This record gives sequence, C-alpha cells and structure tokens, in this order.
Amino acid sequence: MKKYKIDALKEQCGYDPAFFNEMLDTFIVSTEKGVEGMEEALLKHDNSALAYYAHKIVSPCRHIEADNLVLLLKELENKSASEKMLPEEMNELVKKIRSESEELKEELKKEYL
Amino acid sequence: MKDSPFTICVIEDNEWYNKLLVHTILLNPDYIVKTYLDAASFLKDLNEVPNVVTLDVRLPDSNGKDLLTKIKSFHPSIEVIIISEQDDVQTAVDLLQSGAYDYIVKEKDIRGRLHNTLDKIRNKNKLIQKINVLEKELINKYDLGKTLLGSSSALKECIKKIEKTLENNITVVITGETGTGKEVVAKAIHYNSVRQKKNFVPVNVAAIPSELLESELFGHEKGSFTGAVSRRIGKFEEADQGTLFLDEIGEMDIALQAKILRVLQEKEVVRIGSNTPVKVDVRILTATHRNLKEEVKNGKFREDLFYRLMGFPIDLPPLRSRGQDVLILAKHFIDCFCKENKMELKLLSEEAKTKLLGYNYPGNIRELKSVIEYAIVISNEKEIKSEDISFVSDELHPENISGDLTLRQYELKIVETYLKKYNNDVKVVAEKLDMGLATIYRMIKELNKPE
Repeated sequence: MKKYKIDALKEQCGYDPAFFNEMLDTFIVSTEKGVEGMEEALLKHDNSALAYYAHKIVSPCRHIEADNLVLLLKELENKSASEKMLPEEMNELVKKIRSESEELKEELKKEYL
Repeated sequence: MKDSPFTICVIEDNEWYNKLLVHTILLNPDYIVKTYLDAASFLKDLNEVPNVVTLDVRLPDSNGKDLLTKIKSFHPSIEVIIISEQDDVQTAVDLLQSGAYDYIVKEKDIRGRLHNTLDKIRNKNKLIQKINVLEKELINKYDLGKTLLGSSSALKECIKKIEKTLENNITVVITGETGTGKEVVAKAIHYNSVRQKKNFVPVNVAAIPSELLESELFGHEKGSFTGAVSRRIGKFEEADQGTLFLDEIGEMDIALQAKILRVLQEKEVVRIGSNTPVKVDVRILTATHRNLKEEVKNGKFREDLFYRLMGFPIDLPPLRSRGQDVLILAKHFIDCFCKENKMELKLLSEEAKTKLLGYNYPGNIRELKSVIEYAIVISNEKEIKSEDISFVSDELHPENISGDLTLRQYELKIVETYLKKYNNDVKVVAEKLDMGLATIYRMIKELNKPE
C-alpha cells in the first residue's frame, strides 16, 4: 500500500507536470531539511526546536496524505511542546520519522522523478 | 477609475507551502506576489505597503501575533490573513481580535477560501478608494472660493467671518433671508473644517413634525413607542465627530429646546426608550431666518439655549445688497445649467444684465438661479435677451429704477407694486407709503384707465 495519495496535489498544480515535479522536488528537499533540523535539535535537547520542525513539515505531508508520517510528526510536536516525553522516547520517535520520511521519499522518487 | 496593482506578501517558512500559496494566489493574474521565508526579510520591505499579507503563525524568528501587531501599527490598512497549521479556536479568536482579517487553516485545498477572502479585501479596497475620491471631490466642491461666489464687500466681510470658524469647533448661527445660501455656508464651514472627513448631517427642523423631531435627533430603542420596530440611531449620533446642521432652529418646539440644551451641555444623548447616555462629539451649526433675540423676548425661544448657540453669528447679506455679485452668480448658474444639460454656453446681453441688476430679489440667490434657468430655456439665441428675463415678483428695486418713465409713472408703479404686496389693502399701502387714502384711490383709478 502506498504511503501517500497524490491526486489533490496534481489538481492543485493544475495538472501542469513541470510544476508538479517542482513541488515534489521541493517536498523532498524541505522534508529532508526538517528532519535534519529535528535530529540536530535532539542532540541539543532543544524541545521547542523539535516542535518547530515537526510543525513546519507536517502541512505538506498532510497535503499528499502521507498519514503515517503526519501522525508521527503531530505526536512529536505535541509531546515535545508539552515536555512529556523521555529523551530515549524522543530519540525513538525521531528515528521513526527519519525512516518513514526516507521510505516516502524513495516511493515518490521511484514513481515520479 | 483604473484599478491599482494589488500586492500580496506571502510569509511562510516552509518552502513547499510557500510555493503552493504563491501558485494558488497567482491563479488570479491581477495579483502581484512577493514571498518571504521569515519575518526579518519581510519587515525590510514593509515600507512598500502591500495590500495583503498572508502570515504563518509560527515563523523561525517571530510569532504571528507579534508580526501582526507590527504590521497593523505600521499601516492599519494592510490586511493580514493568517494561514495556520493550528486548528485552534482560541488562537484564531486572539488573532482576529488583534486585527487579522481572516484565519485560514492549512487544509488540503485552501484555494476557494483564500481567493474568496482576497476578492473581498480587494473589493473593500476599491470601495475605500472610491470613497476617498468622492471625499476629495466633495471637499473640493465646497472650497470657499468656489462656494461663495462674488466680489462685493458684503460677501468678502462674510467670508472673513466664515474663515474664523474653520480652525475651531465654535457653534455658528447663520442668519439671513430665505435663499441667501445658509445651508451652502454651513456645508462650506464643515467641508473646510478639521471635521471635513466626518459626517455633515443636516436637519430641517421646520420640515419635521415636532412629535417626530425628538426621535429623529436622539434616536430610539426598539419598542420604545408604537411604530418603533427597530433601534434607530439619531442625527446627533450620526454626526458624531462631524457636524450637525440644525436649519430653521427658530421653529423648534420649546420643550425640545430644553433637551437640545442638555445635549449641548452634557455632550451626550439618551435614545428614546433607553436609560443609557451615549457620548457624542458634535459641532453644531444652526440657521434661522428669524430674529432669535426677538423670539426670546416673545418667549418662543429659550434664553439659555439662545446664549448657548450664539457662539459665532454670521449674517448672510441679501442679494440686493451685493451689487455686481448678481452678474457673477448669474454667469455661474448659466455655466452650470448649460453644462448639466449639455447645451451650448449662453451669454447675457447688456440689457439683460441691466435688468438683472435692477431687481431686488426677495427670494435672493435661489430666486436668481430660477430666473436664469428659465431664461436659458426660453431664450432662442446664443445671447440671453432682456425679454427672456422674467421675475415672479414685479417689485421695483428703488436704487436701480431703469427705463424712460416720468416721475408720475414711477409713482404709479410703486403704488401698484405695494398694492400687490399688501393684497390690495389700500389702508396699509397708504400707511406704508405715507400717502393719503384719497391719493391712493386716485392713483388706482389712473392705473385702471385704459391706455
């Protein structure tokens, strides 16, 4: 089963293949930057930065219905903001986000780029 | 009116969402978009004053509320649309109360909502632009030099007095015969004063039945009397921060005068059916053709209100005392009428000018305007002739009697005029002209003799 649904994005891009590809490229780059930001924040034990990066990349993920990744990002955002998570749990969650985002990226690249 | 460019600044730190917003907005080719990834880079360009800013609540270097406050304090006319991941009612309410125009949640397709909001803002801006143009036209229309035409010393004296009332809020009482332009002067004072951008609210006291006047002036609450089907704001509230012009103040019922006095003293009104006073900041201009001092003596006008209103009296001169102004005004009325009716411009013949100058205009400027409009319509040539000028009243202007008449003929004409004026009451005419009754009767006989 696919990790995303892309129809809404195609429609929003006006079925313009060049713009659609540009948006996918940007998605991959900005999600990667966001995950890198989370990993850095984790090393610095900076919870507010963790919440910020999770918040920053969740909207595009929701747009392409990458539901698994959205759930992980929302969990990280909420828990890091409320500081209810142990460092090892947080570490685990960021790893899951990294892995989910890598899989998503590969699927997208394989199919569209 | 040509549409001015409509600029939208997109502030969104996620590159992907930033691109999507720009693409969505540019679906309307009339929009110009500038894009920013953080608050600092946007603030550098804020002095370019965009029409709209779309703002993400969470930015790397600022939060939405702070940036919204900065934008609104820099230029309140910039509309801010918050576009947020957070579907949080309290945040939305906070931001809307802080001046945001709309709050849009980042859902899968925000295209419809975003364009709807942008269209609304654009239409609102167009209306504001139109209002500004109309305001300027209105202010220009009531420029003192364009409103009060003439070069007579009587008018110049009057303009000097009017100018004294422009930089302050002094209450002005404008007196003068009917048709001398009391309302025009009131408008000129308002539109040249510091209150020019606020409402000018005229109320003709004589034209409103006294039982309705109180509600008209103070407003009423729903159900406060039979027929009060909804709350209504009164003229005082309508004129808040502007000017209320009470025309024919001398006709006001004495009971209502007491209530007006209270408003002037307390600077607050209480709507009929309400107990809550509403603060008002209103400049009062009044006009009357009556001698208010006499009215006070006769017990028809409250003395306290008289002194309250008598801040700065301006007495408008009758047209008959303004000499050559008659011709300046006549030319102005010809220009206006021909322009309005898309007619070729007409001129006044020398005889027509002499005739116009020889009349005493009991109806003043209003009468002159009617006389001129009639003459334009009746005249068949480019030049308005003496015979095209027709006066409703045949009263002679004693200072300007023209024509080759004998003294006896002038006497007969004067008597004839007075008889018309006093409904053929010979006794009154004799008294007014200080002539014997028999003399008047003899002259009537002479007047009735066939030529």
